[in-house]
Amino acid sequence: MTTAPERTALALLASGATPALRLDPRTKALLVLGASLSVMAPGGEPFIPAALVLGMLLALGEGAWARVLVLPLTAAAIAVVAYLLPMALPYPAVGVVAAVAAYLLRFVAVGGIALHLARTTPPTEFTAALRAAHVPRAVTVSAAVLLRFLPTIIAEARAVRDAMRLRGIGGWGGMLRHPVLSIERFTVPLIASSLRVAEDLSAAALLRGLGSAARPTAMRPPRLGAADLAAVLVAAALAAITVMW
Amino acid sequence: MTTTAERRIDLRMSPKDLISVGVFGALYLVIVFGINMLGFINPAVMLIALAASIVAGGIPFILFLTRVRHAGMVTVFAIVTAGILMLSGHPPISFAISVVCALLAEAIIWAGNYRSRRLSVLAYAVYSAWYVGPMMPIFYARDDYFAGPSMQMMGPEYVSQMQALLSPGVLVLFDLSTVVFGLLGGLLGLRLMRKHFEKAGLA
Repeated sequence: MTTAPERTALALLASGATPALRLDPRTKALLVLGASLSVMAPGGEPFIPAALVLGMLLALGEGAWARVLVLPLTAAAIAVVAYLLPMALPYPAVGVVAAVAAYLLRFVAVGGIALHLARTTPPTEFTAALRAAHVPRAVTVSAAVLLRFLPTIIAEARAVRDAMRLRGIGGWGGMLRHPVLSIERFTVPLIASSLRVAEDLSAAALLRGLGSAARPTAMRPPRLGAADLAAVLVAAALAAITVMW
Repeated sequence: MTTTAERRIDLRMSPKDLISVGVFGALYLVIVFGINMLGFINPAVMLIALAASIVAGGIPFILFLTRVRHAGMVTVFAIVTAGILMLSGHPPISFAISVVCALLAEAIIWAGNYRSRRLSVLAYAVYSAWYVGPMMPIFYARDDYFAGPSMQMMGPEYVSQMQALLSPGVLVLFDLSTVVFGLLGGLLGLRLMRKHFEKAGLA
């Protein structure tokens, strides 16, 4: 039972994190998967504009103004390479680049929606949503650990890369000259230092009951609300317009 | 039959196993992406970076296999890493391919009783066949692309040349090459494990 001031504090915390649009992580994941299934399927090319519009709307709701502009501009630039470049230079080698660009265009269309999921969902909320969606424990716990370690390992990778650069090794020049050696120099220190950090973090996580049979409660339990309904309806409308067109 | 198998797998996963899956999944993703990022900077090294990332991925994977003592861990590894990739925009078919590759890898390490180092190299080679997944749309959606108005203007000769370049045969060749690089990655992983990680007590 929470008291009234506690509840308002929680509400403030919940509203303060992101300004306008707050979707349930399950809805965000559903939007990504729905877009991916339609755009990436054979014959999914017509869905690209709808996915881009959805990505822009989500960016608007999130207040990510830069992405509202960058997303369509990136898509347009890739579309030029995919469809106009082969007309200017009709060689098969250029054609392969254009075909890859046509695929990249689909990737960007889905990626715009995926960015919304990644930018607005903290790992804890995401794992709470996975639990609420009845994903098996083996998957939720390892996904939680993965998401927890990713930033740590990225930081370690940056440190290793900086150290390599300081000694004048690495970069793509080094990769071309000594591929195996540069792989070794990058991965071995990264793995060694990450595993050392992992040991400590996993001991702490086990002590806090990670992977225990009891179902953990969430600070912000995933709830489906009006915003989720609206988002799904907008996505459905965009898909319907695409099909009718 | 399947439900009992699933239940047994779920029950036998200790929290320590799940932490290993998470830690090595994160290491695998960072290493594969860290090296692929080099390719985005310069398109000329894109294919080399792709091959290098397959080889480099073998190092955390082989080390991960030393912590695997029972069925299901490689499959959970694939579900978690490919699931994250799918939620960041990879095509859903790539997820399915990863899980199938993981099941094959499970069978291989099971055959080696979870101890055979030689078979763990083979398991990584088989697992790295998932790299074909993200490429699949280029091939299965090529008819979309060729049916588009811009391609109609290019003339039938050009389209047939392109059809040949993006044929299923090339796709199979690509996947075979990922398996070969996977084999190299497994061998490198094994060598580095002996050279570095066993000495450091990490294997």
